Amino acid sequence: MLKNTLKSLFGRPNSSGNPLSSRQGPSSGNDLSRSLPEPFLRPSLGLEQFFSNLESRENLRILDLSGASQANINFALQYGHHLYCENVMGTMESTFGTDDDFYSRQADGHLSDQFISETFANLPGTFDGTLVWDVLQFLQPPLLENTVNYLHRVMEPGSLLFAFFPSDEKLKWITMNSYRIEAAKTMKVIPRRNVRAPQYFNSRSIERLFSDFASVKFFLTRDHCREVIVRR
Amino acid sequence: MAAPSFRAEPEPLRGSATIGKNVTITGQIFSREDIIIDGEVEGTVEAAENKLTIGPNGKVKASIHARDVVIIGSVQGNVEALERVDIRKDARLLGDIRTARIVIEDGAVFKGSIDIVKQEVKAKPAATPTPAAPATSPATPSATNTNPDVKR
Repeated sequence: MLKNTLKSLFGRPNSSGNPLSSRQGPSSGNDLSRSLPEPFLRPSLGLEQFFSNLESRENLRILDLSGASQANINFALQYGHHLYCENVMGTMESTFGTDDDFYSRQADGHLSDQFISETFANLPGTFDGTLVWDVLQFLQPPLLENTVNYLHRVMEPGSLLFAFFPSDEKLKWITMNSYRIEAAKTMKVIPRRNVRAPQYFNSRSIERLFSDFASVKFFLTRDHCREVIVRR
Repeated sequence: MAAPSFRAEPEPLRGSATIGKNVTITGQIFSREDIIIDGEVEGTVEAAENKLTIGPNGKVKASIHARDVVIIGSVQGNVEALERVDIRKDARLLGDIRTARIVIEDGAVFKGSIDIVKQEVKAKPAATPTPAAPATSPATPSATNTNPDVKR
């Protein structure tokens, strides 16, 4: 049993070291239609750091951009926090579609405004912690910068944001996932569909993206991810 | 042949009011019995001591206050439940939740805040004055009602 748990935490189902991405382009096979991996557990120091900063306080307002799930609700509420759920991936897909033009449609000003409005217009005030997960990597400039600006607006000064980006610049495709909090430093990754890899984020571009924030702290992971804790 | 997909139909409960799928109501609904809404409602829904079920065809644009709330269809508005909110797969809720307990199935769409309130210990009722209460489930059908199909 212990062996299985360790395998699910540290298993590397493919050669790139990331079960949710591939360096091989579509020319070597139709990667976008390849079958999705099974849900798996992923350790996360960034997530642990995020919650360790919150656990000494109660009645905080947490914004979760991954949509509502029983696991995340239970986890956030057990600390006595208030949770606000926003399904950003769902809004992205309903606004920009799920086909090959998913990225190019983001250049449409009308659709971009609609995405921003649906995501941020109904948020009630500001938040003490924001779980962004990996959603920013699917946004193209200038919508990406615009979204980060809005996140800056809805976060309390001094509050934290948790996000992550793939750190392998040779990726050709990645998987859109849902995330469930299993424990303070473990998330369950539930693959949803494969998409063409968007732009590559290195440390410098991530720092630039969050240049209006007070600090950015990086966590390098074994599965080619760059986790960040950003302080407003 | 692909297997047909089924949507969970709310089980008609004995002693519960049902607003059928071809009914549209605009106004206030007060209920003193369990109620199932499978039609369209816009306004407010109150069943403070009972269970409210929004059926798979239900489209409710209202603030809701009930003892238990089960959502299978679509709700736009704030939901307050004394005991429990149950959001089923394929349900859609845009609004804030205030309840003692929440259950949400994977696949449900929810946008809003969740406030967990501790259940108050019920004090022995001390001769509560009965308000000039509305009749049981006095739905206020609007002129837009089509094929009124309210079963009691």
